[in-house]
Amino acid sequence: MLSPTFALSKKITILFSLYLISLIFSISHADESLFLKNKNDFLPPDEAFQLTIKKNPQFIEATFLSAKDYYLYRNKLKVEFDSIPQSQILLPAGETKIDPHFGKTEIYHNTFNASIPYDTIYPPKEIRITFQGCSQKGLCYAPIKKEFKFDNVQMVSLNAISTNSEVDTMQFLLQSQHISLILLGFFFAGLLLSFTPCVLPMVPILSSIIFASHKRPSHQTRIKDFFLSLSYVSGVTFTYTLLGIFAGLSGNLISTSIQSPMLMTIVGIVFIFLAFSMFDLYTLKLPHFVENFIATSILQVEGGKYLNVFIIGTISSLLLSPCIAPPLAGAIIYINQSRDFILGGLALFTLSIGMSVPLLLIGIFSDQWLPKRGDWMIIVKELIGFMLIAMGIFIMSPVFPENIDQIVYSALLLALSIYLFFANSRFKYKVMSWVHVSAFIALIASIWLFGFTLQKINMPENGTSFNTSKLGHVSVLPFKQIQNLDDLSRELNQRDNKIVMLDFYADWCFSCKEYEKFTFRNPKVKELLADHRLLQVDVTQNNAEHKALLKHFNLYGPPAILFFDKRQNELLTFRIVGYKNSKQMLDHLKKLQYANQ
Amino acid sequence: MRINKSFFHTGIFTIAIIFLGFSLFRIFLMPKPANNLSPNITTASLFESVINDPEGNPQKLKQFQNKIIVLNFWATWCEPCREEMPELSHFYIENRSRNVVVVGIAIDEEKAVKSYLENTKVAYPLLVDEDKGIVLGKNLGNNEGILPYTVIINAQGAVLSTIRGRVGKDQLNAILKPKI
Repeated sequence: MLSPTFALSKKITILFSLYLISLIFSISHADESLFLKNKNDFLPPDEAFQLTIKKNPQFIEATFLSAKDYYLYRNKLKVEFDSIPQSQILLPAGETKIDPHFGKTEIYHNTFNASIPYDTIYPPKEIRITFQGCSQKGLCYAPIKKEFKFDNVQMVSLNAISTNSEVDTMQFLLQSQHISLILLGFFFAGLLLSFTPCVLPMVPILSSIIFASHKRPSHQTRIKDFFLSLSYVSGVTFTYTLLGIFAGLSGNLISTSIQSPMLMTIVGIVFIFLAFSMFDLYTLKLPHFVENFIATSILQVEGGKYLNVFIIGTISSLLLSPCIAPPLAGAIIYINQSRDFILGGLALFTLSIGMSVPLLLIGIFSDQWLPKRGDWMIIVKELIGFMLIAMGIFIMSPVFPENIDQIVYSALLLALSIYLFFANSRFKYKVMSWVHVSAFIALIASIWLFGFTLQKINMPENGTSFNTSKLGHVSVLPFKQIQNLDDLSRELNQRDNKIVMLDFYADWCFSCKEYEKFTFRNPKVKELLADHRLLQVDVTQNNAEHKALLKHFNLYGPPAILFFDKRQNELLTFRIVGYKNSKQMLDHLKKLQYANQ
Repeated sequence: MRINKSFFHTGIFTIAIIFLGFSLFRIFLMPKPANNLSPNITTASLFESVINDPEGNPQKLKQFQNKIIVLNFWATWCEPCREEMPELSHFYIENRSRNVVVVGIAIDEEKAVKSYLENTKVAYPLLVDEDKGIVLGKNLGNNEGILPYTVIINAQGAVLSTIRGRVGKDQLNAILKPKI
């Protein structure tokens, strides 16, 4: 007697399990190459080497991306404009490879840019790019030719420069290769949430409502129980997924720069504040009347029927218990920041699946399979609090001065360890119980992290001491510090036929520090910059003058490097937004030189 | 509570399928190994071709007809290609008397091959033509332009096997021993 709803639940089961399997697959794809590594295994040329080209007013920019273990030859790259070979190709230096027959050859792994200047008055019609490459697995490709129509090539937009290089903690997490990890994280977070004191004890009660066990006819089978709980779970999942999608979509509306230190600090503090709720410093939950309304409406629905149980699921997930509300709020803020509704939906979907595991277990094995309830559930709940604090710190970390975030983490670990020690006696666990042991582990981790950070701070960097004293920031380059637009125009008016470089800096800006630490320290970069006039504006305080300056150039904030030619005009095509390492910076400066000879 | 059931069904299904589709999409975006053997390759065009040798003299490929041919596509800049060439030379010398020929087709410039041959001895005949070579390879099933690429053709002109990537003497012997 298969009712239509029964058949439906069955289909849903299959779909869900397929989903989970595919999730596992996409997680393991990172190691896929390990078990697919056949001797004759190779990528089609278009996948091994990807070429995208763009143009700016002076150059054609060709960006090559080689797959892992594939490389291209520097001297085999040819560019033809309307069948005329071009000799002027600006290429970065490659890695040197010793070839037994040709001696030293230069190759490129990963990605590199080639720029080809073109005649601006008579631009070419057709561009043909020929390149050759090999795989380290012992394969090469015959010359690959790609043709482009000049008119169809896209202009480089200034925004495009900024998006590929912005360094941001949130964005780092949201890059596509991390998606599986994020989802896995959400799944375990959900699982952890289900072991908190407001969820686990509720499971048997909930299950009795769902199964309508008080009037359960004797012939009712386990399978039906399972499908009933699955139906409930899909209800819960439904609400959560919708919530995630909405959170992602609403994030689209807020177009503030994530780099802004204010926002990072606020979000971080909100996370820590949410964590306090997990320690019962206050209770975050719905107003009483809403709670009552939901609870009574659930009781009105008769259990034991698939559709009804689904409805109970959708509604009851709105009944946020105090353990779930804070982490859920955190998750929603996080998704909101990501502005990605697909990720948002997926994340909360996985979270709710994780949360539903105990209920599904009950559906399959009934009561005996659930872990015994006890004080440990409180520890789990408070552990989630610690995790929320850690996430808050992580979000705020770019705002902290160097290395301070690691010290804060180690302090947090120390706090965790002390907490666990006391929890051990508070809940009268035996000495050397698992709680005790984890306290020791946390203590060791804390000490290790602290020591590691101290060592890093004490290590002198390249002999020169890095001065980040309170008086103001001192750069490795001889920058002249300016404060406002007047300073800038005064500087620009000094006609000494030099190109002016203006660098926007702030203490809280991740990439700015990287510039100071790596790019500007590079001797070649220093050499090339020697005949530029270097200006810097430190916008750490972000006062009205700084804001006016940023607004004048339509910048959200640092990092940004602007160049001005001898006639005081900004060279818009050479504006840098985001981080460039020394190699990229060198290329950029060489192009700048070439264009402004 | 009366709710239109079919509405619910479609709703749940759509969402589940979107998720599933997204996950599958992610999996299949990953590079997948290509099929190994392309069937039904004809050698008719091969024997019609005329390709220069490194000295610049045109050579008709018809001269190799009615022999067992190991046709090896290579290039001087291709390291794995060069690595397998000594073994191919050995194989050629050992089997020359048994109506077997190894032919190397360089997807390369004549100049490069000439200077390469100054330092390296290759026992078997070589032909050079970058453009023709690529087309010829394609006709023989090498759509991706993989180098080295080796095609084994029997005396009747049928393709016995194609090998992408490095090839060894043992591998050739294993394929050809029963035929010689």
